[in-house]
Amino acid sequence: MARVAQIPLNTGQKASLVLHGGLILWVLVFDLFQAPDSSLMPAATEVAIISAQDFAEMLSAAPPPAPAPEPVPAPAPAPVPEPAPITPPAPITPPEPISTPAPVTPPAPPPEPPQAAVVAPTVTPDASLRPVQRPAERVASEAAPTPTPGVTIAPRDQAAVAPDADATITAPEAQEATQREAAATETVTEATTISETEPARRTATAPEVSLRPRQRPARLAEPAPTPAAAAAPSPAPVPTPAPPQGPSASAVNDALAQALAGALEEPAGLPQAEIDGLRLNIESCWNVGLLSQEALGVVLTIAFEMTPDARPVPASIRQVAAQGGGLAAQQAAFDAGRQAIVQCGVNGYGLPANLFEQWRLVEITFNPARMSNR
Amino acid sequence: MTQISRRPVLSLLAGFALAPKVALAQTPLRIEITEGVIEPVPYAIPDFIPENSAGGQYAAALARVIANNLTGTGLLREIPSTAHIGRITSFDAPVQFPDWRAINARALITGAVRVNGQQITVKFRLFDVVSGQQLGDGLQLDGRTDAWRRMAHRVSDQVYQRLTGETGYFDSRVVFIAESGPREARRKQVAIMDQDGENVQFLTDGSALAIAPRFSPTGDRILFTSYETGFPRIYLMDVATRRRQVVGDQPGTMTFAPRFSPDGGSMIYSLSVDGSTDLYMLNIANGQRWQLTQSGAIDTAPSFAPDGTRIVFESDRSGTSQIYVMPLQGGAATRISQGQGRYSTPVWSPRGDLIAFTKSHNGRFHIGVMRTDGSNERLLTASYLDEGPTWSPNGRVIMFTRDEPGTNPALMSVDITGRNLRRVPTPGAASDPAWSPLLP
Repeated sequence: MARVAQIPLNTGQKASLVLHGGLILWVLVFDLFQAPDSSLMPAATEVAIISAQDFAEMLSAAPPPAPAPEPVPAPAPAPVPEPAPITPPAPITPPEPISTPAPVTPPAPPPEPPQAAVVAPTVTPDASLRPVQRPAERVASEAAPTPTPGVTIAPRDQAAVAPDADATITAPEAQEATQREAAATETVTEATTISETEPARRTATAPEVSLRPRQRPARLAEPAPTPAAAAAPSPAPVPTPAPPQGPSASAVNDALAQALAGALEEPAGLPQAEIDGLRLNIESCWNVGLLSQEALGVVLTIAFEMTPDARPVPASIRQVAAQGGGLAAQQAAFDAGRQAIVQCGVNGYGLPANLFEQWRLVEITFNPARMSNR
Repeated sequence: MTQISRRPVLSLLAGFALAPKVALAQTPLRIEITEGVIEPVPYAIPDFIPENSAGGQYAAALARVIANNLTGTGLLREIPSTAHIGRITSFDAPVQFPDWRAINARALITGAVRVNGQQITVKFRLFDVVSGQQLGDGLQLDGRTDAWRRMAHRVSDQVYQRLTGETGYFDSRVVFIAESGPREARRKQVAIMDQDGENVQFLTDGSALAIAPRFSPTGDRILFTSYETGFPRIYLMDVATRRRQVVGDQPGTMTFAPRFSPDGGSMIYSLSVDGSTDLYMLNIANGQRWQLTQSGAIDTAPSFAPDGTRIVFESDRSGTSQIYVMPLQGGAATRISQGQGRYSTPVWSPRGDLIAFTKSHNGRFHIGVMRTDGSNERLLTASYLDEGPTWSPNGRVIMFTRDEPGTNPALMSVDITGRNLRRVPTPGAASDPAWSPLLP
């Protein structure tokens, strides 16, 4: 074992020892190195340093100092306007299309002198909708009767009204009378006529269904688009969203999403109006009067090609699928469909030539279910 | 974590992204058609080509019978020969379709006829003018010259089946009651004719009142009710030999409203005794009989379902005449007529899907059809008196009796859609028709 030499301490060393020990003890007791509260830290602000001379020049150029401001009393609370008395709702011109009551009504400003009264409108808002009188510029002389509770006021177009009192009230524009829906082809037997109570049948020109919503481009788990969805391209393609600039780890996913988005995107270009026109054209030539009841139960899909001038190629017409009925019924249904395609396309279907690739191949499903027993 | 080289993956995905663009070019435009039009299809049928001099006398007649059949359906409309541009000079010559398209013909029927002695050969082809294609194969028929009308009917059936997808009904006959004399002393004879009103023959001499003739499933026999003894009795007649016999007779009873079972071996009929009229079944061969109903009411006008498992009949057990369906092997009868008015003379469709009936309501008579459960009732006609429907062999057309004040009763036919109501030509007053099956 090594021996440590005993070195005597002098006074200076003793004093140093005491002071350092005290310092350590103070640190431990008073937590000198504890992180200061950031909230207590002063905010550092950059300042400009100027010299005494500059400061003197600034003082000499400055206006004489203003007298010290008197102590400002605490600001009094703003006078809250007393709520206006709830009165029967004043008819306001023009009537506003109100379908739901406003839950909160802002405090009414000081009332202004009413201007010249005008003729009461036809629609009066419900009293519960306006607990506080509104600063109406024009007030009806008489309140219109309150609508019956529970009656829903149909939304109306808000007519533009001039703010001056001399403005004339324009009657609501009369809605143009629409053509009554024409009955579809139907047999009126000797015994019966079409009942007026029967639900109106749709017109032959009415679109069968509304457009399908487009596929979302980035739904990776989405299956391939169905044929029906692909058959209804929208007129305006939805642009594929740009892939986000993510880290390299998501680059594969981003690329895959973009690829699938392109795959699910429907063919753009052929307007729905063109498709409807083609459908209506063929409908006008699809004569099902010759078909038997069994053949009227056949749902048949026929595919064919068209020439660039939108004429069907007869040799390309083929049956793709058939459901229901026997072979003879399916053959008769096919003949009727083929005749419709060829006959109506003999002069061309008038489709846009610049979109030839969109309609070069056509598949038509003939579903005569609605034509049965007519 | 496995590091994946991004370059090949991205290259693959880039190719994948381009693939749909290529595929889209091959994606067909898909459209669904649910509405069409219903109108007679125009067709042309030039006179058949006589292939020898003897065939010349049938060439035009064959075409006329076929045209009459097809046009009579109301489904087709003949383009008169005066409007034809093209000429068929040879049965095997290629058809100049533009000539037929120019007159808006959709179908074209060409044919030829050859006669050698008493033998006649008829052949035909059917064309789709629009697409310029032959529909199906051509057909050649051989027979005797005195059966040339039947050959025309068979050609009509072939054309009809090819165009509509269902069997035709032209090669069939109708048995009916030919009426003559004043109304208070009517002479009613059983008569038979082709479905188009030709070849009328009387099966009874009219010395006794005869009503309600019904064909057997094979068309060679008929059942009818005669009042030879003053009381109604059921007779079975062989159409070819005209021999007849009484069936189901029972002393002290009245038997009427007979109808063959689908197999032709039995008949179902009404037997009235002691004021009660019930349905009975009779084995025609051995005379065995059994009772089907026992309601104490009047059960009559029975008709078999095509499969023979059920019957439909009329009964006033509810107070008014209504239509009931019951299993043949026993069980409760189910009323299927639910509308207002009286229902009578139900007849099951040969296809089994519909029941035709007579309905009287608000002083009008109707011929209508309903499903076998009574649903989807549709009235096809309305007049002072319509009654006694009978189905065409293919279940597409209904023939019935119409009797208007001041006129003689007549036979009418109507499509089950309610279209094409037309009078069936008969030499005189006629009533109570029954349509035969297609002839063998």
